[in-house]
Amino acid sequence: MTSPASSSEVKYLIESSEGNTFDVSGAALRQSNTFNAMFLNIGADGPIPFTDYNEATLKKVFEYCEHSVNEENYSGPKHQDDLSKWDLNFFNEMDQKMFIDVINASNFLDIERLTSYCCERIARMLRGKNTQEMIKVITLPTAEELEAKQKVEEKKAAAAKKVAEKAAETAEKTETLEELPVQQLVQTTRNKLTRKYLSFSNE
Amino acid sequence: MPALPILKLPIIVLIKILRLIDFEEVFPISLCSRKMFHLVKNFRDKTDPIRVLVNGKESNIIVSVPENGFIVYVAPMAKKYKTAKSVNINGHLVSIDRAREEENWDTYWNDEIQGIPAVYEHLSELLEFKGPPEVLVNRNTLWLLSYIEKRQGDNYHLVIGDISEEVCHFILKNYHPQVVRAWSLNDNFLIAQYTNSIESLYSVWKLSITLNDVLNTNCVELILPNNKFTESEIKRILQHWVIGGFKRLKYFCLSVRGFNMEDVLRELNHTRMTENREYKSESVSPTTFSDRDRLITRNDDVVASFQYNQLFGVVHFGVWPDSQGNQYS
Repeated sequence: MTSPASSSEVKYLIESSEGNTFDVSGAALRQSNTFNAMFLNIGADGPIPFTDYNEATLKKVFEYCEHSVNEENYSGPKHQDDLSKWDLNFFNEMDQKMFIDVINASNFLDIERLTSYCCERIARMLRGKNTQEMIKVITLPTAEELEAKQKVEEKKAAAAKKVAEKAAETAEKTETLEELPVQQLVQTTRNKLTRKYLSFSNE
Repeated sequence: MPALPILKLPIIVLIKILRLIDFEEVFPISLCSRKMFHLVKNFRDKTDPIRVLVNGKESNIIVSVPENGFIVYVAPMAKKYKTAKSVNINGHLVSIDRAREEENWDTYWNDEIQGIPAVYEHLSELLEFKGPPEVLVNRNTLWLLSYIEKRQGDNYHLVIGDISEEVCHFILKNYHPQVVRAWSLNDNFLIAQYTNSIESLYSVWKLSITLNDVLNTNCVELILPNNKFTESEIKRILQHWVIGGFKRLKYFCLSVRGFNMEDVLRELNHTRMTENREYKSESVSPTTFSDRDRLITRNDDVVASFQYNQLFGVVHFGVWPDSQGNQYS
């Protein structure tokens, strides 16, 4: 950690999942309630490990924090129509995977403003869609798929039941066999062998 | 359309998203899966009170909050809709489509009779609306009243609109709604014979009702803004209340003509109100009584606020405590 005279100029080293480190200003980091709770008062010796997130994601998150350092205090979710051009670009240039990673990181770092904007953006993506489109967006199986799955499961259960019943039947037979007196068992086996011998000698 | 597996997000994030979803999107998202249904049910924004109208005339259910709402239409299944995507509504696999008005929904049923109850049960479980539903029926959908009464007794508002006098008499004799709202009714319809069993009567239509009918009513609330009463009739009504008449009456709103507040109150024990107070009734929006209005005290010290609204030519009268138990102190 470097510590110049002014607290707003303090830089912290952040470590990503790849083990890479990069600088983030104290002002930007203070937007993270997680950071405030963990390091603000006690400081950090060396890089702060946010190793559940990759460098690209963390840099994206802190890019947002650096940008909104001078914005007034957060007061509830902002309507997407009221977002600045910079904010819109920030969100638009992310692909879906990065967007999900940013939400997760922002949630972990407890950056209220960014998390809320991300949530508002998802809520907005669902606006005006029908159930089928929503299912696609949130990647859930459809009612038909669920019904088909249920039918397959029912078939599987029925087949399993049949197998179980057969196994029980066999077990019962085996048990019956096991219950035969030894003498009788010997006699049965002998008879079988005799039949086999006779059929062989006839050939 | 980018895919966003929101169920894989941390629950705190998911809750935030569900709270931000517009009210009109709550219904379609609840149909995505049973899990989504329960998530929406538990975590949606519940700050606004919900109003529900079960409309047997148009075969739909209208759900609204103060600034938003949606309608779910129940229609018979036609061939062309058989290919439409299906959703599970209260155990029924139903075809669904967005209606022409974007926020509304068309659902298609093989058995239409099952439709409204199934949609109602789904919405009731999902939105957990506390207030009684309003029910509008016609000659062919009287069964809806049986369904509603079986479900929740008399705790519903019957909306009378565009039905024959004969059907209206049949309904009022055989069903027992707590509140009756008349949107349209024959001028000569003799409503007075039912005011003993109805708790609240609200008519935007002029009804055939006399002063004697009013004095003999057993209603808790009586809202007749289109029935004109004279100053002396209002005086008579107030005097009747002061001496212990109207055992159940809590609120009335009546239309007046040739009205002078001082003349009406002259012989009554009254004072000017000292502060603004909002009075909440069961069947209409709250009335704000101000320090220009009067407080009438009954012989047993029960108090009621009384207001003359010169602009609309109506008087409002509310006995404290109001329907939500708020006292005047």
